[in-house]
This record gives sequence, C-alpha cells and structure tokens, in this order.
Amino acid sequence: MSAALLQGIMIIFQPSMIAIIALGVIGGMIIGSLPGLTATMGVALLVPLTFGMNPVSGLVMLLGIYCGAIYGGSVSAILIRTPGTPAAAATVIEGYMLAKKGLAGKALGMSTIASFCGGMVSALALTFISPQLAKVALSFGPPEYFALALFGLSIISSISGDNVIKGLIAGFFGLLLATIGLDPITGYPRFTFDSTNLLSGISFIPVLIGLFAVSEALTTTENIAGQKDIDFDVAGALPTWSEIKGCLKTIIKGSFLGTFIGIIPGAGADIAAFVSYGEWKRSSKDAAQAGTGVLSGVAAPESANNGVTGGALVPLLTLGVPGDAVAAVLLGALMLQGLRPGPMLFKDNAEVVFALFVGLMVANVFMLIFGLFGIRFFARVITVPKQILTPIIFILCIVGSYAINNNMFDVVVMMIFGIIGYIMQKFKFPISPIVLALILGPMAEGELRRSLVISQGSYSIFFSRPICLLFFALTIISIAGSYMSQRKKAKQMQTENSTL
Amino acid sequence: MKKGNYVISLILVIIAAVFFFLANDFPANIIENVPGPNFFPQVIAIGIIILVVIMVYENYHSTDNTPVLDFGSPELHRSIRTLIVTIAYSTLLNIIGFLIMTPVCLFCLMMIMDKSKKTKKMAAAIITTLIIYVSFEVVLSVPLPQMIQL
Repeated sequence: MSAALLQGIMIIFQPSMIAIIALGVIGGMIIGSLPGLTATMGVALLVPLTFGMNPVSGLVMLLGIYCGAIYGGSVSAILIRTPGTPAAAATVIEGYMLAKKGLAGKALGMSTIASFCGGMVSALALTFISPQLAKVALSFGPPEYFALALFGLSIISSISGDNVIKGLIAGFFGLLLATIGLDPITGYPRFTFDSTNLLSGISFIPVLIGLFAVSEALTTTENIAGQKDIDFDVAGALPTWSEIKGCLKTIIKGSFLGTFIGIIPGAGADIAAFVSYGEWKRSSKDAAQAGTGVLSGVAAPESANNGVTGGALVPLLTLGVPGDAVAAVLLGALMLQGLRPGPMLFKDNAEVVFALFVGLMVANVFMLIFGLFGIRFFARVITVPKQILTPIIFILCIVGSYAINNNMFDVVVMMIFGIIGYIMQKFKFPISPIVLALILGPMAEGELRRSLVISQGSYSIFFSRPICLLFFALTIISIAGSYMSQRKKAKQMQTENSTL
Repeated sequence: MKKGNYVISLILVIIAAVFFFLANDFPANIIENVPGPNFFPQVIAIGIIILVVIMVYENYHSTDNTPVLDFGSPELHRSIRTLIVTIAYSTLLNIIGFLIMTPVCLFCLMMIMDKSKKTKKMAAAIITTLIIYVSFEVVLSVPLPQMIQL
C-alpha cells in the first residue's frame, strides 16, 4: 500500500496535474455556485472534456469538479438564499441569516473551512478504508457479486423520494434498457434491431448527460422568463481563530458523519447535510438560537456534505457500486477511461487508485485556498444571466455527447433521454434509479446466470455462502427501511393536515 | 397529474409488452436449467407491468387533478421551441460544421429565452463558440464536426 501511495503522490505532484486539479476545483466552484446546476449535472457535462486526457488527469479533474461543486453550492445559499446544489439546502438556514446581518464573509469563510475539513477527513478515510474493503471483495465470486448488485439495486427504494412505486418503475425501466445489446453470457444480440450502434448497449454517458443536464436545462428554460438581476454583497471579514475554535467540535463531528453517510450507498450529500444540521441542533449549546444566523450552524452541514465526497467513492472504487448519482457519473467516466471499478482495480491499477486519493486531498487544499482568498470573485458568477447560461449548457450537451465516439447516434440517445428526463421530472418520477439500474442491471444479470452455470441451475448456491446471505439481509433492511420511512412521512403529513 | 399518470402507465405497459414478446424469439440457453437471454428482459417486463398496475390503483384513489403539461402555456412553448432549435442544430452540425452552426444556434436559443440585449448575446454566442472550440479541438485534441466538403 505504501509503495502505491508513494507512486500516487509522485503522479499527482507534477505541475500539469496540479494545474488540472486547480482547474477542476475552479470549474466545480463556478458550477456549484450557480443555482440550477447540480454537482451531478456539472460532472456529467464535463466528462467529455476528459476524453483527450490520460485516465488520472481526467479523473482527478472530475474529482476537483465534484469537491468544488459541493462546496460552491453554499455560496449562493449564503448570499442569495438559493442553494446552488441540493447539498447546500441546509446551509441556507443559518448562512443566509448571517449574510442578512452583514456577516456573509464569516459565513462563507466558515463554509470553506468546514468543507475543507469534511473533504480531507473523507479523503483520508477513503485512502485507508478502501484497500481493506477491496481485499475482502477480492474473494467474491459470481454469487456474491449478484447479491451485491441486488443490494445496490435495493437502494432505488431509498433514492426514490416521496413515491417509491414511481422510483421502482424508473429502476425497472432502467433495467429493461440495460438488456439492450449483446447478451452477457451467450453473446446473442438483444433488442438491437440490426443496428451496430446498439450492439454494445446504450452508451452510458449520453444517457447521463440527457437525464441530468438536458432535462434540467429544459426545466430552467420553462421558468426563465422574468428572472431579475441578482444583487448581493459579500460583506464582513473572515471568521477569527476563536470563532473557528468554537466550531471545531461541530466540524469534526460533521466531517465523520458525512464520511459515514457517504459510504452508505443511496444516501447523498443533501441527506448528510440535513442529518448533520439536525445533530448540531440536538447537541449544540448554540441550538437555542438556531435559525437566527449561528456560525456553527453553517459548519455542521458544510462539513458533512463535503465529507460525502470521499465516502461515496468507497463503495464505487472497491465494489463497483456507486453510492449516489455523482458517483454513478464518475463510474461512467472510469469505464470510459478503460478502468473497471472493483477490487481488481486495486490490484491491477493500484497507482491510479492512490493517485486519485492524493488528487482528492489536493483538490480539497485548492478548495480551501480559492475559497478563502477568491470567494469575492467566485461569488460574481451568481450574476451570470440564465438566459445566456442555459443555451451554453445545451450546446455543451450536444458537443460532449458527440465527442465520445465522434458519432451522431450518441447525440440522438442524449436528446431522447433528455426528453425522457424532462417528462419524468414533470410526472415526479425520480431520475437516479434509471442510472443505478443501467449500471447494476448487467452486473446482476451476468452474475446471476454465471452463478447458475456454476451450480448447474441450482439456486442453493446463493444460500450457502455467508457473504451472499449478508447482502440479502442488507437488501431486505434497505427496502424495509425506506418503506417504513415513507409510511412515517405519510403519517406525519396526515397528522399535519388534520391539525391545519 | 391523474390523467397524465394514466397515459404514462399505458406507454410503459406497451413498452414492457413489446420487450416481452420480442424476447420470446431469443434462443434458449445451451446449459439445461440455466436461464437464457430471454429470462431477464421478460422478468423485468412483468415487473414493470405489476408496478404500473399498483401505480394505476394508487392514481385512481388520488385527488391530485392538477394538469402537468399545459399545452397552451408560453412556458411549455418556450421549451418546445428550444428543443426544436437544439434538434435542428444536432442534425445540421455534421453538415454545416461546428464553427458556423454553434454561434447561430446559441444566438437563436438566447433569443428564445429573452429578446433584449441582442448585441451582447451575439458577442456571448461568438465568444462561447471560440472557447468550446479551443478547449476541445486545440487543448484536448477532441475533434468537432467540420463542414462537409462538396
């Protein structure tokens, strides 16, 4: 491990690599600051930019964008009461009140420091936990991988929002789409309609760009009329050392909480931020003043949402199961670079994996530097009119999809999925389940049938292995948990409605 | 929402049924007792139909009658116009080339969103085109569509 880590450090600490990470962080901060551009959309939109790069350069750039975007969301949350990304929704509560008091500088400074700490803790956790988990995963055979894929698919129920049935339908639709292309066992072409473009299945990146970027841009287009010029003021100084010391406990707690939540597949940065804010309200002595603009109330969600960045990469890199939507996009980027996430990645490409870990840490350092010294400049991007920004997004979607294979077919796929995503949003179908199913569907099918070939058709192979049983148990817990939480929510709403 | 959900349900059932019946023609697996290429698509298609039935049942008892798509609204028209321009751009990109098509398309899209400040928008369209061109073609060596040579 130490040799690979050293190699990773040597790969990253080259001027070109450092510049690429810095560029990624700046890009991410700009994307995150702009309300309506999520981290997922930003990473999906900029994946095509990494085609011409070597795998490490491309991937660290995307990691930089990821970190920067999650942090950048807090800028507009604090300054204009509009979270740049869903992950910054909890930051609005205390952050905007601080800005109203003329303490925007302190709020932004605290958000930067907390985000840096969260990001660093999660990057360190990733560096030390992943190799151990990958070692365990090396012993997995087809039955274990099938059980893992099933567990991964069960997450659909927890990322489905308010309507689990619609989430499951989206997931099953994704699974159906995943069967297009050559059969993983016999090589028989399925649903290809004699098109060579469909032999290798539906291209993943155009689907992502369509679902996350085009659909979002179409929704923005609809609501674009009458948007006024944005006015804000980054007033006040940065937080003092004593103020930082006062928030240290909250930051550390939030960082670990975010990292832990990030590792759990299905729970993203938005959930981590709200859980951490809730925990701060429960345990902090400042909680009595919650909602009036408390500095530690900014530190809690910001440390947690950036804590997710490294945590979400743990299941992605070690098991090939994306923890959230951004991780799913990163998985697509890894595969595009010819790298297959999973335990073998640690064996065959250890130097690449460790370079990514080091790259993530460097990205966090840049985030701290740019955040503390350049926030007044980055905050200006909030004023870019959407009437100019949205058309640029459309063009980037088309050019990016085309650039994957220099093929217009990918552009057609992207446009179709853009329209599908737009309609899904209208009818309140969650989008992420489709992506998860597209990734895990082929894995589930292939490993199920491979296992049955080994056992000559006997399903007992799945029930005689302890790891399989563990994953099956986790699957049941995951589905039951989300079903129960939805019931609880529905009951709560019923009670609220009856009291009104 | 209620009506829309029924339409979506019908579309989903048709898609699932098409996949199910097409999968009937797939060959069986050579190894006995091991599912063939048709197994997974057919199981998923049945799963979709079951879930759609549950959704229809829930929808029947729902009181949400707000229309999702108002075909007369200027907002939706704006989205459709945007979509038409984007599709036209995608179609013509390989024929006319990136450098000519992109500023034109960008300007059209910007005008659809807001008709004021034409000069500023024209400048933004040209500058953006050049930035994308330099980023992809020059810096990253990713080829962009060129004009067809007659």
